[in-house]
Amino acid sequence: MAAQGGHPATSLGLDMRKLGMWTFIGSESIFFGTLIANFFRWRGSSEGGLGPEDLDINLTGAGAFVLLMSSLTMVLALAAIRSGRMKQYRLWIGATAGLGLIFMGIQAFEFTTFGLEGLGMGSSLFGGAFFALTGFHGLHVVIGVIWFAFLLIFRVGKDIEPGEHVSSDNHSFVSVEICGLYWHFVDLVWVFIFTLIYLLPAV
Amino acid sequence: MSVEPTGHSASAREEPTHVNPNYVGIAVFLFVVTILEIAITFQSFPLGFLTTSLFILMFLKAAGVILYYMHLRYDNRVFTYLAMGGATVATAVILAVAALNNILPGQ
Repeated sequence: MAAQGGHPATSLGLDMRKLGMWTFIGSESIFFGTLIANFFRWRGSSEGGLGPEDLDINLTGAGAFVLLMSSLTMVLALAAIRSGRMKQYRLWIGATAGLGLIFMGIQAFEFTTFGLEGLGMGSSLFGGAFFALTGFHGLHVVIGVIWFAFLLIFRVGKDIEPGEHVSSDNHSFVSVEICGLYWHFVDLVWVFIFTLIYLLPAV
Repeated sequence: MSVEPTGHSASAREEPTHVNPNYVGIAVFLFVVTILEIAITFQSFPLGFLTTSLFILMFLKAAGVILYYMHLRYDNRVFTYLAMGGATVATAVILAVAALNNILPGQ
């Protein structure tokens, strides 16, 4: 069976790109799991500098809220392209990218503040573990925002007529769907980072 | 909110299309849980209660995102196996490192 747009399905009858994205998400889970384990190992090694108890919960709580809202706008974009509401689709994708940019700004502010207070990758083992974890997550946010820009610049979905209800194997729909899966995963990782890295040390 | 059927990659073996969940309602739920997480962090409850509560709230939020926003609840089981496989290995790595370094509760 060939999915619309020339992407053949796998022997399981699943879209290759979607199967690939879920495989990627599974492997990324392991990647972030090791970074979280690394943080737990070295969180007590602040060597007299800033430690886990100095992390700003209010600031990162705002970041968590922004990412959760971006997941909402992403899923609304997917629902819009599904039912051919193309103007709303582009609007929601733009909003998701904007919220991603806001999160990047919050993280840049946090990193800059820590840097000014002497916490860096090489200042302590805690610093190295903290920046490796949150930095890699931030990198994933940057990639997501670039992906959204590509969706808008290359006008993914231009083949869909306004008001057209597309099938679930439509090439453009699947393109947006896998981008959405990636973005929700980035949000999901932050759910764990926020609790394990920021909240737990504060209790 | 919207009630259009949403879809996932076509497959004769996949479940039939479903009605979209209430995405805004789920967002409100996630927001409330996040507020609750931050609020209880600053309370003077026993450490065991706080830690358990934070873990429960964290998994509630994760379930909301993965089941409803990533549509894993409605999608093909193969995707669930891929996600759970990765999550299982990740959890095992975290627990192994914690156990090796004596940072599990009670150690």
